[in-house]
Amino acid sequence: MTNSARIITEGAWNWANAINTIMLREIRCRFAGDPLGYLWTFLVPVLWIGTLMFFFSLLGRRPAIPVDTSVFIATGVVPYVLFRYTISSMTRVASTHRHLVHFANVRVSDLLFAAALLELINALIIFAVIFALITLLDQMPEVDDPLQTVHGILLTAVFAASVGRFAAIAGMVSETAKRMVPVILRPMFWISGIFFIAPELPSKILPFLDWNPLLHAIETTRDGVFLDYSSSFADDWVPLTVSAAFLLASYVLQTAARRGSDRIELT
Amino acid sequence: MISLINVSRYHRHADDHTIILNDVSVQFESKDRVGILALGGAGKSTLSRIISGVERPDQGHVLRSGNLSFPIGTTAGFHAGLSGSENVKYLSQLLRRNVRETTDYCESFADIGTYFHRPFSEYAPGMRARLAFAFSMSVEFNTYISDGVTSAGDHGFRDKCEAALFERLNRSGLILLSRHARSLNRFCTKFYALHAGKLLPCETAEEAQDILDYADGYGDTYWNEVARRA
Repeated sequence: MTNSARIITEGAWNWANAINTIMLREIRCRFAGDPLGYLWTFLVPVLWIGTLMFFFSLLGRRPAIPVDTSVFIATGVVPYVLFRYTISSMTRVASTHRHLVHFANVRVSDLLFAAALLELINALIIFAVIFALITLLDQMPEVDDPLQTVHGILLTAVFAASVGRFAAIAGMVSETAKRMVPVILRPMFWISGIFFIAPELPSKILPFLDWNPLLHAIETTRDGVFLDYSSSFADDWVPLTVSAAFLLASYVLQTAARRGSDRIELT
Repeated sequence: MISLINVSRYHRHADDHTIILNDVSVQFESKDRVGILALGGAGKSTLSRIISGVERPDQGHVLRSGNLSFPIGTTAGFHAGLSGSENVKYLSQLLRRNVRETTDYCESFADIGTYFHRPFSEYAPGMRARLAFAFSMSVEFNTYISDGVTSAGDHGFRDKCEAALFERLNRSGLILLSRHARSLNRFCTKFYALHAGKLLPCETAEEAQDILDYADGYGDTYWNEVARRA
């Protein structure tokens, strides 16, 4: 192995070790002191699904496609949870783990990447756990196209990570921006197709929601899960283009601000 | 080796600028024991952060070769919700050090009993300082950097800290930024005074102290005059 190849391999190995350590630290820190600890990460989406199922039955609502209600809600809740958790996690690690930049050349970007990767892994585990639970309840859900399903989850993860990166950098520069992020994201719960599919929307509203990348990602996920549903609405370009725009904006902000309000470099 | 090349750093405020470093060029060898004397608020922490790479200068470059420590005794990387042993574990993993050896060293050196396995938030300030110092000494670096900290805890523990630091300095260098000339005299062999954004080389720590005293370090008050005479 040449000298430069050894340096690159060693650098990549050190970086992977740093990302792994940051993720392990985050798992241990997030619910430190709580008896249920990290289990909350997986319990909350299950509770959400249970709550939405309760309201569906209370209102006598059924999904617009002939599929099980719990699976329908799960295919909306899991991507949404991935989206929200990724953004809040990236914003939080930028604050709670920021002092790690004093150690071993950890950069702010490493903290954010580790947080986004951890949330993606969590989402895949949540998806598997929920489907296992539903299978245990003897309803035997069948995933039509697992690759398409993972494709939908990955689209969500990319979009969430780019918005999360922008939100985290903005939050490090300005306390006001940090407080505004959850407020701005709140409507996404109602407009992203958690409890409806795109064809159900009135034709007057549809053009306005066509820009919503999360709606496209959830439609892609459902397209993959359900045999009887093929989404003509889902379009990869919307989440990918908006993600690229947020990513670019985050780098522009990072370059313009150079360092956060606590003088830690935005590297 | 650490080289600062034409480094400038300003703190911008709403109505004015504070000059921390003004076109500073200086080179420290890895094994040098450098003492930098500065008054409170002159920019010791900023300079320490610039040297260690946590903060970048507004102008100029900082070149580093060899591994440089995090600030000695810093509790910054310790998470309040984790126990002392968990904090040590994750930080040593991050620095790619042997976790078992580092943990054993810290537990033995800090000597805080069962608190080592309790959440960091339950520690008294002295215990935090003990563990943070122990962790700093558990990892060997080419050059250590200190923002004024050379020991921690009570009298007995301070002796232990200084002994450990002296032992490390047999093989490593030190950049100590302090407001106390006595600390610099104890640990350093090269001296600088940080004044008006410049690093002024001095023969002794006392010379650095004189520069700060008589330039415009202290105001012309009664007590400063008493201090000068003393």
